[in-house]
Amino acid sequence: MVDQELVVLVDDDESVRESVPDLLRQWGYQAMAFPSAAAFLSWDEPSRAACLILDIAMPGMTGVELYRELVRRGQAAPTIFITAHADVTDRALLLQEGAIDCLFKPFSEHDLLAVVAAAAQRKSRHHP
Amino acid sequence: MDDSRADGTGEVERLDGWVDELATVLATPAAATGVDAVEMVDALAETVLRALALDFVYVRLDGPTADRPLEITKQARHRSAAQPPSLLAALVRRWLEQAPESRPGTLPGAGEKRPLSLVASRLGLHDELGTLVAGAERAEFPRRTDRLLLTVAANQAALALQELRHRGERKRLTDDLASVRASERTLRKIINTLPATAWSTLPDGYCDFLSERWLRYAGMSAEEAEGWGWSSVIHPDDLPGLGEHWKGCLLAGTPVDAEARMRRADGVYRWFLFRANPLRDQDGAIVKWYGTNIDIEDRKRAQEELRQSEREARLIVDSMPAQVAVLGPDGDVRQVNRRMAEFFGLSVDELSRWRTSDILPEHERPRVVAAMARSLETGLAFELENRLRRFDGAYRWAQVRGLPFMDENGRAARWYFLVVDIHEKREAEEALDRARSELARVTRSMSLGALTASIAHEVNQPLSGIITNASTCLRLLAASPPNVEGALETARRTIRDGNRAADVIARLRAMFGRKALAFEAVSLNDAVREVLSLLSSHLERNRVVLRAELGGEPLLVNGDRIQLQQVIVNLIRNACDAMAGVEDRPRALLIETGPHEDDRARLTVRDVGIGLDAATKERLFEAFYSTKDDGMGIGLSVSRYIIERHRGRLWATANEGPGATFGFSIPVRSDGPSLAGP
Repeated sequence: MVDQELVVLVDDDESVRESVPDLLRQWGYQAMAFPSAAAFLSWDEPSRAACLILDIAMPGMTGVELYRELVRRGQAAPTIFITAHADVTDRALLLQEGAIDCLFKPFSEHDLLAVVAAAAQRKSRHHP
Repeated sequence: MDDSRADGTGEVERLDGWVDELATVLATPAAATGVDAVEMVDALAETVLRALALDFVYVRLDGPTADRPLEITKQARHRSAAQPPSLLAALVRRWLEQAPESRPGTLPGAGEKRPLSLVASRLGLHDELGTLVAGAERAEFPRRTDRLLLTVAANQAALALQELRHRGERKRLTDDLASVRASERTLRKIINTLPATAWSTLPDGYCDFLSERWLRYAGMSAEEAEGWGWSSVIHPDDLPGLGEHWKGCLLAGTPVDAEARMRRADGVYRWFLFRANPLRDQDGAIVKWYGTNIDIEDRKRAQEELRQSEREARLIVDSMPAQVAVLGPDGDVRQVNRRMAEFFGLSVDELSRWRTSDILPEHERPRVVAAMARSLETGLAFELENRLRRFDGAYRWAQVRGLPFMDENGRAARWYFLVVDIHEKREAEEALDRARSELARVTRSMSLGALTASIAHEVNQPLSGIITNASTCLRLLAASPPNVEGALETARRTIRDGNRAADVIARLRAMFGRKALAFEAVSLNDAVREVLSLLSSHLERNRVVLRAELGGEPLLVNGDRIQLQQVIVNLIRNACDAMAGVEDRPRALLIETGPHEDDRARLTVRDVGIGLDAATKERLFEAFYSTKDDGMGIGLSVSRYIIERHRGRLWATANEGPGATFGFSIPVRSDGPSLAGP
């Protein structure tokens, strides 16, 4: 992989922020993590992200609200939602809004890499 | 009588002398009223004996002149020793009995005495006064002159006796009259002191006497009130009626019984009761009317006040927004207020057949009868909610309160019923209940859902870390060369996340799990009573017929009162739910408590509901298992959990008949207080 694609994770759970980027790096991706929506929005290079992994339930702005804000700004990279609230999440609605997928915690390595790969592919298609 | 005096002149002189003597004797009674018949006759006999030169005279007085037949016997002095007068009298009596008029009599002589010739003369016009018998030894007796003189003497004696008798009768009459006048004076005194006014009238109603009390009351003199004057004090409104009644009684001779107002001297009218009875003579003819007037003003006023109070009570009862009925001891309806009459549209007789008619729905009748029977035992009022059929056929919910009124023998003399239409309230309550239980179900589901979500979130976060770290760890170890440093780091993170998940579970258990129980001495029976009083309206609404047989008082156990009551509530509610569809039989619920196996207390709840099949029984106490459409299946598992924490056992059995019995047993409280929890 010559051009390493940057995957950005936004999650308030520290264990996820540590483990997911490490795993992605093992697969050759660049990975960054932010603990909140506000922290991500204050980053000045959001357009570098080839793929966004957003936790839905976060204190303050939720992952869904952050995604909608990025869409509104025209800065939304292909996005994967993750959540521990499987029972209250309307996955279909998120897909309809343009999300690549929604993974329910705990998710397997295989599922994660499959949707990240799909997201990166969509990014390169839209932005050659 | 000597011969020298046998010539005419002598005879005349002798007769004159004799008549003078006789006149003297017979005039005596006319002069002296004190002389009685016996003295007079005695003197007459003496005179006749001497004047006619007789040897024997006998007089017998009969009838009213004397109290009993009286005999007087006189003899000439020369004979007095010969025969005793009593013997002579007896002989004369016998002779008189043999009709002396038909044959002249003789009495046999005694000793040297010659026999006596006898002549009898009757006294009185009809011989009613007595008999005079004259006897002489003379051979010529009786001569014509003797007979004549004896007749004259007898006639004069009769006249004198007659006069004496009349005189006696007059005296008796005078004495009687005086005695009557004295009695009348006494009677008048009595009448005037009586606390009633008295009066009398002649047979035609003419008033001839009014007691002083009457006159004082009316302020009239006897003269003013006499005749018909009294009627001026009768109230003008009452006079025609009283007059008619009085006239009717006078004509028919029936007792007077009437009421009318009489004006007092000061012008105030007061009510009086007029009563009078006729006095009749031997032939039944009315000779007088005697009457009294009794002041009944106070009684009348009390009666009027009572009537007024009854009218008011009736008005109150009729205007109450409730139905009221008075029943006899056998449940027969005696009286209803207007509202009840309008509600049922039935007569009192028709209402009395409430046990068999459709006033009450058939399946609700036994409950009412049972409640009445219980009330009779305790003497306390009962209260039920049941449906009653309105006049238009619609059944409406009513709250029925019945109070038995006991007589001094402790038997029901009356029932007082108060029936309040609570149909709208009841329907609103039922709607509210439905809404409430729906809400409770939704809330239960929601809180459980929320709980599940919360647990899932808390556990999924570390799980997610564990899986991802473990995957990374594998990748690092599989690399060439293996990145052992990185693998160790991710393995450490995996352990950390595993601990974190364990912490979540521990926190949940702390939150929802063991809570310290408040153990204390609890009377299981009191706990049941409290629950029953809390659930009474629920049972009532569900038409559950409850019977509680609480034994082994006070049945003390060591436990958490609130939690035990939660179990009891849960068992009773389940029983009610199991009977909700039962319509063909009373929804009987039996709660029993008592000692069990020496050291335990037992409680069972027996219903006649849908019962248990084997499969159900197997899973009954599992959490999240429910036979009810709207149940969450938590109640019984929680109940069993609570009972087990009381070191007890909860069970369920299918009844022989319909329904099931749920029960538990827990240890009874030992002597010392035990604080040991499970």
